[in-house]
Amino acid sequence: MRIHPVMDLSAEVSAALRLLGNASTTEHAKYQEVLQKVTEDMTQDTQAGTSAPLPDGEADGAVSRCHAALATLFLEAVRYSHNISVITSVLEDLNWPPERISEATKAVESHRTTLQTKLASLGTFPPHVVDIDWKLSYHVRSSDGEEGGGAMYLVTLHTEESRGRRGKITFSCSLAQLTHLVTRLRQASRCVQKYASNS
Amino acid sequence: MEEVDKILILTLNHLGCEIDEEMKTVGSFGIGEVVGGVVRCIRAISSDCDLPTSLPQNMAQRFRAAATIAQAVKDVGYPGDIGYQSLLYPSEADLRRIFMFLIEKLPRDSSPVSDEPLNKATLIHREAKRRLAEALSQPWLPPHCRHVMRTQASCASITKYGTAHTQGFTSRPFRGYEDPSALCPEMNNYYENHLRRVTKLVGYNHLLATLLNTHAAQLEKEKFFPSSNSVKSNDVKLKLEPLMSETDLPEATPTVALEDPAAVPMEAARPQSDVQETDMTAVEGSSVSQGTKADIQEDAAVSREEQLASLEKEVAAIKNKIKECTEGMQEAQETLAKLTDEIAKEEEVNQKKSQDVKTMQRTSSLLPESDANIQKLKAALKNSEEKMGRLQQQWSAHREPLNAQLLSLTQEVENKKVYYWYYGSQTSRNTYWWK
Repeated sequence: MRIHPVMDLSAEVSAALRLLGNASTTEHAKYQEVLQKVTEDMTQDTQAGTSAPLPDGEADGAVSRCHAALATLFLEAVRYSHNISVITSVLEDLNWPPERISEATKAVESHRTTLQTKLASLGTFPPHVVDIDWKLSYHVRSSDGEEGGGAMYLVTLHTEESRGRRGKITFSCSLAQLTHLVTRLRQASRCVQKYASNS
Repeated sequence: MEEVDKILILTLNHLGCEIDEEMKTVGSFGIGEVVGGVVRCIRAISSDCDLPTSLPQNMAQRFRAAATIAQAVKDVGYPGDIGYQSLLYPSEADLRRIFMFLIEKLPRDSSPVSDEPLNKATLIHREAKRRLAEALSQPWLPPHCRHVMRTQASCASITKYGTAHTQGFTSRPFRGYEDPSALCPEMNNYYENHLRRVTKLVGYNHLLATLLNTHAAQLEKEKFFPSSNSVKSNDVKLKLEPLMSETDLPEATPTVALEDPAAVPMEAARPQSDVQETDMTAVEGSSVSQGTKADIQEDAAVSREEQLASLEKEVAAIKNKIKECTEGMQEAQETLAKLTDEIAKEEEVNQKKSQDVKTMQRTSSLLPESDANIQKLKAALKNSEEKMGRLQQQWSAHREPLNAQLLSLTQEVENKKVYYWYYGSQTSRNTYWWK
């Protein structure tokens, strides 16, 4: 395992990258094919595409291996926000010729923001309230025996969850409970603001 | 008063003047410290200032320097009285007032003063605060407008981008590619010709997560097996456990905790009071488990090797079985081919024999009443001969008139040919004469 002072790469990834950068084992055309496939895959917008993996015909094993290693390198570099010099030094350690290094770094830089966007969209997020509907219903009489239950609010909170799903939370409460809820929400927002500005 | 002095001294030290540890109050400042402190404050307030931080030796020059410094302080806006005497013959109260005023005038540092040890919890808190502040300062976009900004979302800010474009960190099981030369020839063939790209195996939705997960697993594995390069190390699957789980205790667990760090910067908008406590306990827990890890790792390594050995044996046994089965299959196929050939031959022989059998059966059925049968057979033979003669007569009878007709017709044809040739030659002779 090669331990770079800043970036860690596993042995398999380093071995595959060494293979890819070695001009005698991998021709330039193949290298460019790998690079192009990596950038394509990284930056593709998945919203419109199919989510199931498409079966492919024959594929070259060496290309696949190098593709995975290069993709991992790009991802790790963007994830830790390494700049070009770090990536260059890592690739130099793996005996890459300079023109291939420059091509690779150019690819990383031009797609850095897209990769950051994609990485940022990974994660678990709780549902997020975006809208609210309410209705005021007045209970005149009910079978519970309670006469004149008074005004009740029927509240529907619309939430936005991951992958664009929308959810609904419905509940009914009296005015006092609603005020209580609002007070708590205000308290929570004050806490957050205090924490954020407390540095 | 001492608190105030402490704060003053602290701030002045931060600005760069090295005040002795023994000076606890402003009253014990000497002229050098006073001048140094004042000048540095003024320098911090207004960057274009070329006042010296120490006074020259000459008395006259000292007076002039002190006067310029006092003038500079007044320029900054000091409301009270200040002159060269406040710097050269300072009184405690005066000094305090001057310093407090100057320090208030100092530009607010945006960088946090960090005297605390930089452990992970503080770093995370700091990062969380920064992101929260950033998120709170952004304007709120209604959800139906957010899809535009989503393509430029380089950080997870809920107010700005919402959560509609996010997805969970789902990774697909992906083993990673090994060095193909270390495998048996069938796998080698698969690797060279049929191995598909990760994206085809996993799908675009899960590509990033799968790659990150696999790489983290590989790094983890290497921490335990730094020297093993062989194929068998791939059989041991280490599970990646979260770094800071809320129920984390210093247990004797040999598996090293590794959370996916990509999730950490995303949890910006959390309710903070609960998180603080659990984070502190979790950090302590993980640090203690780090300590006990060294002792436990040896036992873990031994048990793991035993597991490895047993798994290897199983794999070898299965491989042997596979070999035997394939060989058996081949043998069976060969015998099958031979047997089908033999069957075909036997069929032919069978057919011939059945024919012979038939004739023999017939003759044998005729044998019992041999005389009568012989007579019958002779009679049948005669009948067929007679029939033959009759048919031949019929045929010749039919044939002769047709033959005669054929002769006459051919004669006619011959005659016509001769005539035409003669005629043709006549005409040609005539034409020849005309020429």
